[in-house]
Amino acid sequence: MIANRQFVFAIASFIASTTLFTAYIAQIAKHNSWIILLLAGVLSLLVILLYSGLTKRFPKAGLMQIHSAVYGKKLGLFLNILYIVFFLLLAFSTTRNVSNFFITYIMPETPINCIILFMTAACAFAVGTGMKNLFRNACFFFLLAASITLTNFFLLIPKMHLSNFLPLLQIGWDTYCQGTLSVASVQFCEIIAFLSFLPFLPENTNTGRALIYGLLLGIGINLLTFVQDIAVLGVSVSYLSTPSYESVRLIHVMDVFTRLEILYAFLMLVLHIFKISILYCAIIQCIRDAFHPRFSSNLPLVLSVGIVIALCAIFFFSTGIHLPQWRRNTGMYVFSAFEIALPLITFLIALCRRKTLNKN
Amino acid sequence: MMRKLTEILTDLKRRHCVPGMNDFPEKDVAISKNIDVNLKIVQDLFGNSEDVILRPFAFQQTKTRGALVAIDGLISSERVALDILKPMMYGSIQESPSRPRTMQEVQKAYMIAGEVKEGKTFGDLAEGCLSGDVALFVDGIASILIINTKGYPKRSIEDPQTESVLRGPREGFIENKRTNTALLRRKIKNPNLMAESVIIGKKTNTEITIMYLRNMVSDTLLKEVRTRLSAIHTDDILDSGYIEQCIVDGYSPFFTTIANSEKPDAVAAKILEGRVAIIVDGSPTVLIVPTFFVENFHTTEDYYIAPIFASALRLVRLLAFLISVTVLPFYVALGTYHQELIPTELLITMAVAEGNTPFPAVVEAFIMIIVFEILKEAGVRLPRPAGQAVSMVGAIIIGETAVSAGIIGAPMVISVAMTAVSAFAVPSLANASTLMRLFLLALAGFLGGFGMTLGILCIFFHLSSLSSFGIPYLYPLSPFQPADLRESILRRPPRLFLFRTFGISKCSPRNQRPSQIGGTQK
Repeated sequence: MIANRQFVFAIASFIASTTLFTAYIAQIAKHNSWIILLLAGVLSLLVILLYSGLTKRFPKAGLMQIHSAVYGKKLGLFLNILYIVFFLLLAFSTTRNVSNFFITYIMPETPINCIILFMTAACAFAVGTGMKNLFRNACFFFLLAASITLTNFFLLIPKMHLSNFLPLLQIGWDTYCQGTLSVASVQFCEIIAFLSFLPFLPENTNTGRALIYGLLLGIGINLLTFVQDIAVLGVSVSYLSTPSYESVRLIHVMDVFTRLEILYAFLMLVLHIFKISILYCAIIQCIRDAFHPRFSSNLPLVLSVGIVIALCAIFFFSTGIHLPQWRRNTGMYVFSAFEIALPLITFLIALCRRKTLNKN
Repeated sequence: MMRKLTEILTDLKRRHCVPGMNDFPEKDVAISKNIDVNLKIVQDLFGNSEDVILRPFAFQQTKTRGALVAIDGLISSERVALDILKPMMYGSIQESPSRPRTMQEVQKAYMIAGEVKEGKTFGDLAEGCLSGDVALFVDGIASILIINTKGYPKRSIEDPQTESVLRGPREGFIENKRTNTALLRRKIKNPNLMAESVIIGKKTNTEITIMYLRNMVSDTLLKEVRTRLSAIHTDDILDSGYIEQCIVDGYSPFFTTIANSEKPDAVAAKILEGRVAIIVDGSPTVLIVPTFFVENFHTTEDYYIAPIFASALRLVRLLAFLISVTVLPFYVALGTYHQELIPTELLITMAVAEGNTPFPAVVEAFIMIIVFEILKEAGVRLPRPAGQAVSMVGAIIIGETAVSAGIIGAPMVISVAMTAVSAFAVPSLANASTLMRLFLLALAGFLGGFGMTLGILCIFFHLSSLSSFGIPYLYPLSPFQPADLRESILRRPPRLFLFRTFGISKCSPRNQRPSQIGGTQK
């Protein structure tokens, strides 16, 4: 069983890890990206209400069971496979993204494949210790994320200039729409992966409330980081590939702690390992649910999925520039389809057919 | 596949299992009424062992034949002579006894010795005699009396060398189980303190006693301890370490999730918290279940000194553990991959020191750790004067010669020394910290800070996946419980010490005040 509190903090930590890669939105909205973040938060809350509606209609059912119940066996299985591929895409794109960051900033002479392999191995180890164990540590990861964000924020206060937020509302409405959809789908609604773990929540859990609390905490951390980056870096935030890393670079504490960004990078690595492990776990859970009872043994499944994630991360998005571009141009629509459109269709069909899971 | 492999191995083990003490052919043979037949079987049972005593005699008044069987060295000869032989050979404690027909009559008429029980088979005889009891045969009676006359040599109670304290009781457990239970009884004068015994080991028949406070221990925990102990099927138990390996939760290469102590006050404190102590006859080390990772940083002395010092010392131990695990890998990672993080002056010093050495930092570190471990092992095993000489030679070779010969850099020596000394601050984690250090060192040498971060994360996930008799080992860090975490790191003054630790006991930890268990901590 996963405790309610652990579920909330896991969602928050999952979202908090995305603060390292916010360049795609800063490039669109520049110093107005914090407004877009707030709008995306509102949109995400609406999406969460949609998820909540689905979970109320199908209590104690995971995403895969919901699909099977709404679409029937064959179409349900097809959708389930699509979602497994989608979660795989999320997992390996995040792995690749973090690896790109490390070979760009921290270890330029290390082969990226080596970084990917070791990262996947660490995630496989974490998943191998069990889903329950992963969620049990969620509170710790959230505290880590919160303390990193708050420490950076307070240490950067002397370098912040409120004038960097001006002029407000300079960009066009189409940019707002694009940015809002982009942030909501790429940063926040990835928590659709958590719908796979719903059968493991206690009976009396209000799933919708747990999802909302987790999302709000995650948005809070993201907002603080966005505000900090804009206040410190100003318009230049749109030219940098990792604004939060660049702003932490500016921290100097008494000429002793002058390279805190390296520590920041390693702590963010910890959060990303948690995020990838959650996605990894979701893939395994979805495969189990979709192809039950063929995969009863844990280890072969964990190893196989790990190998697939590592190979995809190595062979897809072969250059560092390719992935952010794909995320901004194509990924946004793919993500929206899986995180917003398909759940909406599922909900509407379920509503029309008044379909519910047989409680027995 | 693993399950099948385990089954095959278990089957093979079962097939090749040598018959143990409980498998001797006379085990279930009933005692005969004829004393000659019985003595013949005893001779067959023990063979020609020179330490087996067979003492025939005749009762003074009735002239009935009798015999005593015992193992020399395990019994108190004085008690056998005064409490058993004397009444039977020179006069009954009753005035005019008739020829005894049952063992109850013998017991009533002749027994002064306190603990007496009746046995029906030669299995009972073997078990009693090998535990230091005397077996009494009486002609015409088809049973035996097993009389407690244990009197084997034992060590006196001393200050345990592995858990020295500056303040607090100086007594330690010894190899005698009964003395150990008595030491605990002296600490906890409470009728709720229970002791249960089981015999484990087909060949050694070792007596294991579990002790707990009946009104404190959780039923689930107690049931689990009993189940795990009864599931042990092994030939020999020579120390509590055997039991520890058999009942531990899962498998961990680094950590053991069962605590141990040689100090009665430490074990008594744990029992008072609702834990179970496992005492193994022949071992001065008592096992305590369940335990938590944070408790490695606690000592019994923490409760005998001022809270502020105790809290500071706990933090020092925690820091020492972190230093012992991370400093050397961190040094290697910095020197090999992240030189930009080192202040310029220090970087120059390090470059000068390491520039002339033939090996990369990671190889140097491995060499130093291996040499240090060899010296440590040699120093521990050798007699004390020789051990000191080895340490001295090691210190001179490593500290002076290796540096001046240009084989190892001086900063590396400092790092290794710091690591080694820190490891001794938390003795229960010394072995674990060595293994973790080597693991992190390999990762730091290969991937720098990135590898080290992954390594630490893996250790963290591994630690949090462990449990001690069903309770998460990393509690209260994972699952995170801020109140218990504070309690486990800082020691509060006794007047604020309202709660027992961590939800182990039967009562709810939040409501459980010291008064509930008889005000042991006022």
